[in-house]
Amino acid sequence: MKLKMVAQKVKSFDCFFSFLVCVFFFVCLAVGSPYFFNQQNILSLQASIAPNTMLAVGMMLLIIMGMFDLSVGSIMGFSGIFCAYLLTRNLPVIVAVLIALAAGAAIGALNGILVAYAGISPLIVTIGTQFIFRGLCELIMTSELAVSLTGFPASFLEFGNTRFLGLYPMTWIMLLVVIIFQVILMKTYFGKWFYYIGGNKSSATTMGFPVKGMTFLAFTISGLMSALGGVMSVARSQAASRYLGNGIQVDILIACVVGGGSLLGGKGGVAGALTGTIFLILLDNAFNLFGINSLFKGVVIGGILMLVVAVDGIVALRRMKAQGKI
Amino acid sequence: MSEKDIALEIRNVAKNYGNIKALRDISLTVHKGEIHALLGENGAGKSTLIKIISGEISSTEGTVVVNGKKLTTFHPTVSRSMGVAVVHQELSVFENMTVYENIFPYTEGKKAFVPKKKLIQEAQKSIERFGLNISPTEKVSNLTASAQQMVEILRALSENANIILLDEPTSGLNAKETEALMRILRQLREEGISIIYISHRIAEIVQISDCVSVLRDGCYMGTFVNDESLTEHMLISHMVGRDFEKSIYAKKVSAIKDDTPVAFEVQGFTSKKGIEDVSFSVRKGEILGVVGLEGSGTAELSRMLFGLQSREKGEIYFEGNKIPHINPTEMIRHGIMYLSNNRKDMGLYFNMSIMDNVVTPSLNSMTSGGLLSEHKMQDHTLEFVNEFSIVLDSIYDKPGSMSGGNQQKAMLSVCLGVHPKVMIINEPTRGIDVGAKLEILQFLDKLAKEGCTILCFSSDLPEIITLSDRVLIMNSGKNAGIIECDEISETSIMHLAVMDMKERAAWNENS
Amino acid sequence: MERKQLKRHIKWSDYTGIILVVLVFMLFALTTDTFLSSSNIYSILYGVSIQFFAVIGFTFLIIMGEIDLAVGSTYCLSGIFVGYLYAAEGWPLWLAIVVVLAACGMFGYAVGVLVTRFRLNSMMVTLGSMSFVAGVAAVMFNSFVQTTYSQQYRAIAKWKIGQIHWTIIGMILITIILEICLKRVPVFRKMYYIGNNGETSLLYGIKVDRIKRIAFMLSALTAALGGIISTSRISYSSLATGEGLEFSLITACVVGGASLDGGRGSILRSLLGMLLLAMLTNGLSIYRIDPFIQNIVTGAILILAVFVDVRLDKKGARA
Repeated sequence: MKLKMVAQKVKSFDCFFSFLVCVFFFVCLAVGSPYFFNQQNILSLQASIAPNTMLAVGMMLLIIMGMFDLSVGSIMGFSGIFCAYLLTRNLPVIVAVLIALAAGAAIGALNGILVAYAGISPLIVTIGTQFIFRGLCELIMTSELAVSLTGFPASFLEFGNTRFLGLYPMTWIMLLVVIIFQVILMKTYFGKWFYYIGGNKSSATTMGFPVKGMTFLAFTISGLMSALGGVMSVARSQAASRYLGNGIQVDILIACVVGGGSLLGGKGGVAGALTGTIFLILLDNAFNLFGINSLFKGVVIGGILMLVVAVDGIVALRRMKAQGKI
Repeated sequence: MSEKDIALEIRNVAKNYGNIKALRDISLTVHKGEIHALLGENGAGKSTLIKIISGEISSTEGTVVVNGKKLTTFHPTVSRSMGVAVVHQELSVFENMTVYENIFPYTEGKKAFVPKKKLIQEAQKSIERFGLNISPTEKVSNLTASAQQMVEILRALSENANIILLDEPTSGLNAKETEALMRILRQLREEGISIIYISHRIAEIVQISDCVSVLRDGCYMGTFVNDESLTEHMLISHMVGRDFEKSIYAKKVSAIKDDTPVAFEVQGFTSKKGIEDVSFSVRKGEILGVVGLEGSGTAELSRMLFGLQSREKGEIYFEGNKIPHINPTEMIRHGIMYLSNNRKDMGLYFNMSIMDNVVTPSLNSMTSGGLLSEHKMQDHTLEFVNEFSIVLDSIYDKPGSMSGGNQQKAMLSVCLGVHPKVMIINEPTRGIDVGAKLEILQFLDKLAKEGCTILCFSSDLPEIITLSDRVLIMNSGKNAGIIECDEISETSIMHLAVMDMKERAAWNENS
Repeated sequence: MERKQLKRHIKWSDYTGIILVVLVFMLFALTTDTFLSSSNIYSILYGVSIQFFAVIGFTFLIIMGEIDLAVGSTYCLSGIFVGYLYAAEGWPLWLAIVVVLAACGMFGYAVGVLVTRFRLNSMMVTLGSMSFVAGVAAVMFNSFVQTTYSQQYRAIAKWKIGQIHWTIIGMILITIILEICLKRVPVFRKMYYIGNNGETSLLYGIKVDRIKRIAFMLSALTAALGGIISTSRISYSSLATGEGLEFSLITACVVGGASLDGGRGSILRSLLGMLLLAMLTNGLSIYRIDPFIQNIVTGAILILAVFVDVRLDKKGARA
């Protein structure tokens, strides 16, 4: 009886599925490949998990509210490149990073205004800003300016190259951010607003929750998080690339959905954003370590995603039938 | 009573939507520790008034005074902070959240963190108070519809409000739950809390309320103290504004002969939730009224009959032949049509022209040489426009440009376009003006005389009485009995509709 | 009396797409020398005529308020798939094409079944199928040696009727036929009904699920057709074919006047949207404006077009 209750409680976590799959992969990799615990491998895993998780955290907040942001990749790229530009103009590291983050937040805020106050669908708005800021990235990186975007201050590179207790500073930042957001979402009234709004927008409006304000805020946070991911990525690779964050929005969306989010809103959690991202990256790693053609990755991810979505839908349909609603 | 005792005062409140006057000059006073019922037909303005008090919409004129303070801005948060809690007519729970999160969605004071343990305990307490069996940590989506409704009521009760607005709270509840709610409401009254209570069930209102205010067509008809002298009959006549004897609704004299063939037969309709083994048959050209209180299963039954909702068991025979697959396409193929009770969500296309709307089910016959003919569509539409004297500027305008009555006529035109042999009709005259109402009723009568079989689901009793050859009464998802034409009356119908099963068995034996 | 009841109001928001196309055309025609040259116009048309195939089924879905994000990856897969069967397995070209079209169509139908049977959000499902198809494409791409395809495959896109590439003639014919169909043939007309209100359509006996499933099939089928022709044109397979196509198709449809909520849009409108985007690319490059600025302009136009639309709609509702 008690065990059953515990089991039910565990299952009620939205990220349960992705967590399980992560553990499964982890065990498989640990047992199956002697190279998995190789320091080089662990480090490269961190380097891809940290920035992607930042994007997924922002995306997850929007997904909980029943929206999404396709411009995260472009914001990541733009802010990363912008940060590189500021750093090479001899600004202090902290100032450069803060300005780059502010720029990302500002783009997110633009998305937020267009969605919340101008009433345009999130899909349209973020496809639009995706085009615009990807264009800006390309514009900068194909100009003469691009050549000069190298040679960053050593203190900046420490973010993604030195280690503290075995982890990169940026991995610590990621953990901190995930924990903070998880606490906010789970423990505070403010955090629950995301779920109330995502679960039933019209009720939330009639009950006086600030729906528009929260929409704006969520997009702004998504922009900020994407910028943070971009900065991390630049610090790790020691260079700004024109392909930074290109096309990553789809991976992030998939990570969030696998991690327990639903595009219909009301579900998900930041922990799921982390496990979803880890899942995608472990999958990638498994292909590399086991020498499987990494091209199968897309097939597997797509298949899993369709499966998750379908199972979700079937369960919902059954429940509605049982309740006599359809 | 002195000024001090007044909890809520509404002074000369009016609400206009464009040219439509939803409320006109409403003034009423609710005292502390009073259960104040609000009574009126559909569209009388009860819900509008509730929404103004709860701050969801603003009034066009007039003032609302809550606990001695005037409402200056209309916003849900403002009303709530002044001590107003509300349960809406439509279920508005958050299905993705747990029970306790639904009961306590608001911040207490300035607290940032959710005191989870305390809230779960408190939720448990208020659940137990109702004698319910739900866990505070259960997800609301896993609950039954009636339990969800209870959760919503619990939310309003736990807000520590001193004015609680309940809009049709018992519509989805069973007898036991309703009884528990009544008990709690009385208890709250003792604590000095004021309750504004909206319900269709007049018996329930007479049973619980201290006084009753009646609204009709957006106007205030008066407040009546619930003492010995108040009768259901009195309230009804204030509500509908007519005496039954002199009513515009003439009682129908049935002309259906006993040897008329059965056109539509329903056998053993059962759903997982609600409907239990409903069977009946209708003769050709007959109008069968189907009546039941909210929650008695009439809405579900009408949807199931047309295949809009899944059923567990049940068969339909049309002119003696079984209909193999019950879904809208198949039903229409057999010449059975469904008039929806909800023009907005399921009935009319508000973004398409009136002509496009009217031709919908008959699109395939509007062609010449395989292509749709504009002329045929125009002629088809104008035919109905003339027949029903629908008032419109142009058939290329959208339905939103017409009045409710004309929209209803347009929707009827859509259904009649396929020359149906059987019509399943839902609330044919809900929320429309008296003139249009009469026209539609007369038309339905004519239609039946021409041989169309009609099943009319309606909560409007006078309408049912004028229309029906026989009336089927639903009670708790079951067929509670069918009344033949000469025995149809408000009393005989209500009797079957409100009684519980035991009583009915006794009544059946006596009569 | 009757005449009065037949009058129609002109709605300007219906024509924003056309007006925009004309304005952009005039702008480039008047301010540059080369834009209006017949060879330039022809190259714009030829470019659009190939991608146009992919927008056909996609538009049907948008009209019904659904979406297929897998168009881009299907576009990519089909060219590679045909190449694989034809170049690596040695099948006759016609057979390879038929098999690939059938396979893609069946896959699209399966997606449609998933969406309609379990009432899923088509964006979620096709997000998955997009990744799935792209994965299959990548696997297939690496399973045989990539070379420039033989003359026979390359000829598909180059075949001319008279002086004009068949794709252009096909585009014009298909647009005219489908435009008439969407206005005048009941089955096509029903798509607008479904897009406006699926529940109501169900009530009046429209076979909502079946029409949607077929549209999902058509979407995959037409995307595959476009992909095959596109691969034939560039003469080799590339994983970059069709990259981001789903986004540019959404942009084209929306700029042309479709709404993601469904009930609006048409093949002609989508074509106009595509022409607009193609003219921008072409015109800006004549101005020697950095091609990346085109991205920025495209994004801005998309947001602006919808913003104007939302405003006009609100005004309309108020009036």
